[in-house]
Amino acid sequence: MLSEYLPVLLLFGLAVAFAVGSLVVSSLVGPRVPNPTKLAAYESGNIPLADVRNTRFSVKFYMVAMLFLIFDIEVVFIYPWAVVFRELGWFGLGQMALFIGILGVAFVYEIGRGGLEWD
Amino acid sequence: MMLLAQAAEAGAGNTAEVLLFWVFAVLALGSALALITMRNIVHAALMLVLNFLSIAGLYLTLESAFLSIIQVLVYAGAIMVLFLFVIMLLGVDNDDLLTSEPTARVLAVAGGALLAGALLFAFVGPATSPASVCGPDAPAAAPDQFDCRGLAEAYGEDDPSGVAFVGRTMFTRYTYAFELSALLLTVATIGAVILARRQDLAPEDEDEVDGVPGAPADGDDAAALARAGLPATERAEGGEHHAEVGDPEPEDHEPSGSPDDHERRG
Amino acid sequence: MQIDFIAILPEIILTVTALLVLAADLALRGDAKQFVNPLAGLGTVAAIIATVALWGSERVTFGTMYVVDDFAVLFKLLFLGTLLAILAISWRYIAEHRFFQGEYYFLLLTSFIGMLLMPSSRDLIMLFIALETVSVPAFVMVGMRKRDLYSSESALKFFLLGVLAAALMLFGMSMVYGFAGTTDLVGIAAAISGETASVPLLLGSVMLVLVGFGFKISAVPFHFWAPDTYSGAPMPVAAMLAVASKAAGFAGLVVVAFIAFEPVADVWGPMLGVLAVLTMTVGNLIALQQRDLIRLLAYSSVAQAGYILIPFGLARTGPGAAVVNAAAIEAVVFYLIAYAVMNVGAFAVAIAVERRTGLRSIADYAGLSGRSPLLAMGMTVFLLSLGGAPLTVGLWAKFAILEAIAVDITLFGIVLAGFLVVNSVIAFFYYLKVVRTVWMDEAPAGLPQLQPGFNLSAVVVVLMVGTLVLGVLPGLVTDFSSVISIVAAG
Repeated sequence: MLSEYLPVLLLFGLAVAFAVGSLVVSSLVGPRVPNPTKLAAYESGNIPLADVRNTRFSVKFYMVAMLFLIFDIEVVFIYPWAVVFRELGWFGLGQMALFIGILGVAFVYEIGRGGLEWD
Repeated sequence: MMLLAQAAEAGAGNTAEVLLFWVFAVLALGSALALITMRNIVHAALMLVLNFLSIAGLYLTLESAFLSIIQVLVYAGAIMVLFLFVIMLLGVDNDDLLTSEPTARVLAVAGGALLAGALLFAFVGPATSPASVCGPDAPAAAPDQFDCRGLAEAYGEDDPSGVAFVGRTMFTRYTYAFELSALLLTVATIGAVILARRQDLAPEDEDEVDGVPGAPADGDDAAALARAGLPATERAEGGEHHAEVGDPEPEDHEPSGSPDDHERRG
Repeated sequence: MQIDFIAILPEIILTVTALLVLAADLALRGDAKQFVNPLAGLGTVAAIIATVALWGSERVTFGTMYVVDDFAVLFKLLFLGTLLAILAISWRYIAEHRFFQGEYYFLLLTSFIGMLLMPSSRDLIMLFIALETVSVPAFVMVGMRKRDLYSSESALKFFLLGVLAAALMLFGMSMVYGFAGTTDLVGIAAAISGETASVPLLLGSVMLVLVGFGFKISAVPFHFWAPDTYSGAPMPVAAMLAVASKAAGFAGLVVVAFIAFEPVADVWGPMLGVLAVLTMTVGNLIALQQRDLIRLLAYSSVAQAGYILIPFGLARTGPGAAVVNAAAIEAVVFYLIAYAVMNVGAFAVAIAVERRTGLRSIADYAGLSGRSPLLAMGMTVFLLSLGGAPLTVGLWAKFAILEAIAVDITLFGIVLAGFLVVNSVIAFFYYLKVVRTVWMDEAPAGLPQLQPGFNLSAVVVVLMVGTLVLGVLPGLVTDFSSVISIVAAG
């Protein structure tokens, strides 16, 4: 049963090996000549204005992430539904329509309240 | 954790499965421990990702492929994005958020250890019956000989990943719970829009002051009365605070204070 | 798969109403927005009618997952009645404070949908979803005054502790499932009754599940959120948390304890009994020191939760247990109904006073009798009833608990009864302190006369009359609460 996942495991191992390997090799082989310009954060050629670590995201991103998450969770429900769709027939279709319908109200609300507007 | 180990051993006796279980179990516990002890909040968040992934691996060893994929998709993917957003919102270098008083730390460790000890004793202690490994059908006398019925058998031949099994269960017996979760998600959307939006985009009921027909005419002197109870400085501060954020409420609150201030207020 | 739509009609009606309210809020502008309140009220009345029609029938649907019997109907009527009262006291309050009106009513209705599910659920998954449907809208409602740091703080406390309790409960539920191999409550009872010795794994899981409900009812080690949350939340929300949400927690506790965990009642019974003693004693002692009326009501509601927990302490298993358990459930249900009537009333008066003056410390109730005789009368009746004075329903509620204890007298039962009596006496100190302030103290100069609006007055009058009538004729409720029985099913 689990042997089906052997290739996945191999790929996983390969990815880890490559990531760790390149870090190790570059630290061993690469020359190190640090200077202030080189150590500065890369801002597309501009001089950085502030400490990067102090930069804060706008709370608007949080809204988007949150709303994405809510609609992302739907996949948990819709995927199994799609697999047994024929078995369930009209009953299943009705259920999913109701589910999407209720979430549709949430969606309409969100647009109506300007939840998706950037400013 | 022993419980799952026992289950794995009592099952097919597949060594690869047992090996994988131990790898993922150690990873999950180790990353969870690292998560709560790390000082750098970004590192802690990355440990959480590792934890989610190891749990996904555990699901896989338990033959629940669907759950495993969902774990990666929803938790390791979406929820972690949310976590990182929150960290970036607050600023990364606010390490002082993570410091705690020594006494609080001792208490926390003691409490956690007590709970963990109690749970460990309850779940893997000497009094645990074989029924807890294989369910109530397992005979108490010779649990080793009892063939536990695993998820693979429950799923059936044509549904190795268990998706159809989940689907069938969710859309028959648990229909009601399923539809309710739609309602819960709607509530979550509304909560997000109400609480997380930065400036309220002029919902009409927010920026009008005397919009209510039949409202008592003394609405303003109510606010004045509430303010009268406070010293002048606080009043001024409170007023400024109001002006700054456009507080629509007639009540006056100090911008900061402990809950005890409640008793003093008014 | 056949679904009995009649059985879930009240919930369907409330859901449709909630969605309509949300849509109406988007469509309406300005002042018109406040008319989502009567819309919600109409939906509630329709749901009440649909629920009353279910009385006397026994409907089972969604496999064995959802049961509508008299026990459930009685609870549903309790919730819907409370909802109606809360809608009435919310109208002006929410309209004046310019909250998110449509959202508020949507969340309120959703929370009550969760409550309606609670006494009918016969499956752990269903119970959990119902509990979350009660809690999640409440988290948002508490934090609605988001400009107010108190509100945010109280919402955060409520949320963090609530989520912690939910996580512990879910952990316990998963262990119970692992042990019993089913999430069906009756199936769990069957699975664990075969167990000869008590298994620590099982008992540990049972405790974890009970912790989740202990949070909901604010029993003592899990009560820390209650006072802060009540005083930070919009006041109608505080009333809802103190009454309806608590009753929902008790409904869930009854179902899970007396059906699923009935075979191990010998273990959780005494544990909940000790919890009851702790809860009422701690609640009352802290309430004695409060100067803010809402915090006083919060601690008093903690203490009341302790009284309601007493019958759980009587639960047992084995021969003759059915009689004791049935009496215990009856006492719980009757006390909850009485508690809802008097506590919603007390909050209604507090809202009427606070809404006009913004004042809420007990000293500000001085001379209330002169400023508004109706409110003063109401406050007096409700507080005396909460204390358990004669001629009020509160006395009969306490009497119902003593009656349950008397069914089969044990030493533990006598200890519980002793604590009940002593605590009732302590509680009278702080209830009477407020009553004295209301009637005896001089009103500070400059306070306006209070003329509560029609809705608020109606709620106060109806509940006051209810408190007194039930105080004389408790049979009006006990006739119904005595016929309910879910023990036989377990």
